[in-house]
Amino acid sequence: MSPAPQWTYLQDRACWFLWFPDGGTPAPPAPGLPSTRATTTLAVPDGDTVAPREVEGAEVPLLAGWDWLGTRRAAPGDSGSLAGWTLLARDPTRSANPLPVAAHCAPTPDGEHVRTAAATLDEVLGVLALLRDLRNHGFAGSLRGYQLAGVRWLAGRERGALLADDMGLGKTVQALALMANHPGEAHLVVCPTSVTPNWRREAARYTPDLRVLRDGEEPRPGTLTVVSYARLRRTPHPFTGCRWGIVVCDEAQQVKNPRTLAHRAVAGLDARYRLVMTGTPVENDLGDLWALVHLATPGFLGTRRRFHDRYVVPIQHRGSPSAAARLASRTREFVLRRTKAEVAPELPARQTVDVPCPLSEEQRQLYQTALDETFTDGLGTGRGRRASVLALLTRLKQICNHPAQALGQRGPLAERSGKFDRLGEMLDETLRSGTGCLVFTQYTSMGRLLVEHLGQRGVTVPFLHGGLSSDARDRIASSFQGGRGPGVLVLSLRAAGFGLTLTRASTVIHYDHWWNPAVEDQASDRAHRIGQVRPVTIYTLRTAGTLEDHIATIHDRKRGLADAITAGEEAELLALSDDQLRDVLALRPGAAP
Amino acid sequence: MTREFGCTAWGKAWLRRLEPLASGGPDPDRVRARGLARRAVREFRVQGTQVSAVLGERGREHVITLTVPPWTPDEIRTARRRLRSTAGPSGTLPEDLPDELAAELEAAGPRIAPDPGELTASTPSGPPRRAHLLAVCYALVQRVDEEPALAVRLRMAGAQDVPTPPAPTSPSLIPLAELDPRLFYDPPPPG
Repeated sequence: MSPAPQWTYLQDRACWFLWFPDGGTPAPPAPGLPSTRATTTLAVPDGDTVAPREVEGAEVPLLAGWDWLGTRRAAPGDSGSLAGWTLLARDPTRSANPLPVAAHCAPTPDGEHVRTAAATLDEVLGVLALLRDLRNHGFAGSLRGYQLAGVRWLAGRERGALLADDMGLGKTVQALALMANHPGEAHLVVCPTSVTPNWRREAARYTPDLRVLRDGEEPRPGTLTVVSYARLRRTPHPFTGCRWGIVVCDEAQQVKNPRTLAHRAVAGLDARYRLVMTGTPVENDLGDLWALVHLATPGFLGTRRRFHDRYVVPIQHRGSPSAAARLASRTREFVLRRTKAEVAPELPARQTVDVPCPLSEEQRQLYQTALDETFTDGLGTGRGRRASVLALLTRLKQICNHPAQALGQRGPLAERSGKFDRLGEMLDETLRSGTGCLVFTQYTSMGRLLVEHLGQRGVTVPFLHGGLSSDARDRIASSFQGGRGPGVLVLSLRAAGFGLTLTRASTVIHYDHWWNPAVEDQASDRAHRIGQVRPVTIYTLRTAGTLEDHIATIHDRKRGLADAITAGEEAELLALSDDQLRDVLALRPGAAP
Repeated sequence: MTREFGCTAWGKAWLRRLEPLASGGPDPDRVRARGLARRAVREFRVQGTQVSAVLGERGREHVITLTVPPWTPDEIRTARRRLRSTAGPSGTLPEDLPDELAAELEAAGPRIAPDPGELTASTPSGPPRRAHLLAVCYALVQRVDEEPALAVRLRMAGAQDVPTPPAPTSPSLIPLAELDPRLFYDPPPPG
């Protein structure tokens, strides 16, 4: 029989880490107990001292591990840490703590301490209680270990916190879990217009007991109000007059400037707890860090001037290690930031995220007019009907992309399309975090608008499309792959959907949906293929309440079927009667911004 | 624009002792000391009332230690009274102290910084050069600007019941240096 591994609790990941002092990865301790290979830093014996070292092992989720520990008996072959945790899982209240240091040897962020056995047990019991509360309060999500650790950490802050995890790590679900655990309060999410549909959808999915209010409804305990920064800025009154439980400021980098009306409107909200969220790396700009922490916990870092004198000048002008160390230790109290790389073992190698976006008023009018005109004029019959339907579909998709695309304009581009604005926010995050990103669109005209827009903001991004010679395409691809340029590449879906290796990117964004999901999947494979060592996140933007919902439904249905039978594309819609077709294409309530 | 030396009232209090208004014309030692503080002072440490640093100049290293004279018991009593409103519930002092408090404190008696002549300064080979002593003082001014409470701690060290910043370790943490590698895998003894 193989020796039993050590069981160490990792607080930052809310999981068990199983490892051998002499190396090697332990097998799952029991059939059915989930276990993932991982590497982590533990403080372990090193000659006459105990020092941090990278250790290979396997992660086991907290609850599954605890349940398993509680059903077994300590055996003679157990390691001290396994025996200790086994005793505690059977009787957590026992007076003598049986844990050896190996059971709690994950170093603290300063790398110089470990938590005591008693503090580690308290932490384990605290997280288990949190899980129980979430279940009792109807939270319907399943949190990954680092997310659970995040919610526990957030709940431990008194007045507020800054959550700055990388894009794609699930900040929204952590915020919703935090709110779910306070069902006796009215909560508020303030975010850019482009993300409001996403909040509504995620809340309905993860916190069904938290009622998402419609416009104009009175906030009451157990409800969630979602409002855009623009709306709050225009009409702050109904929101400033309430006492909120948790106020979430999402994409908070947009309101970091304290001189703006939006910032002041957010700062003026009466909240028990403020959760400020951003996916941009805050540590790169100390001014931003101050502004965002100030929004979460006013006064914590002192006035901006004092912060500048005490931290910014010493750190940036004279490289003061003492000021940097003090700032790091202070911000650890209020800022939680995990990168994709840090939590990679817990992420699926490839995950797809649906991103619903709102329709702007201009888009709504154009969309409605296009539908009305086509159906009033009639679709015709036979080949003529087919052409009319295809023209209408193209028109509607272009309107969803951007009115400028549909109208053949070159600008202006901002605040006219929900998807376009959302993409801008997502690209801000990827540009600042330096992870490569591919943006696919099926329309060359849309690709050009994107590239021009980025160019106006000082970011020169190449556009890989079918009109280029194969040499030019190869040059763009190898330059991107070689790490040159800003790390964003815009590609035409058809021209770049195969052959290329673009594994520098760990983020893929589909700006629009093609009818056939296999084409999109093939394009996503440019990033997710052999040689890719990081998890890849694939975002598909969708204008909620429009034809794009329907295409997404087709995708869901078709995925998993063999490629041969997924070639239907628009054929399904052509087979519908006029009335049925109009029904499918009509705007739905989800189109509300 | 942030002043390079003395951007807080606490750092400025130290700076005033280094650069008294009555000192007359330019002082070449001070000019040199500022330059050394910018580029040549390393391993700056504060322990109790002692400030030490390594100063590297022209290929030679000088280890310089200064001892700051503490306040008298009367001054400490006065200071404690003035600081009470700023200290936390357990008597701990935050890292940053308001600038007004510096003025209040000096008006009440205790001087935040001593004159350079009151400092005891040494190197392993005897007393340091004046420019070197001043360089460490300028570096101290910057450190006080970063953490004004340091100005108070330097003058109160050794006194009982000193309001200090919270200890870096809390009871729920064990420093790695205190862990015994031989007992690492064994359960703690009963009792």
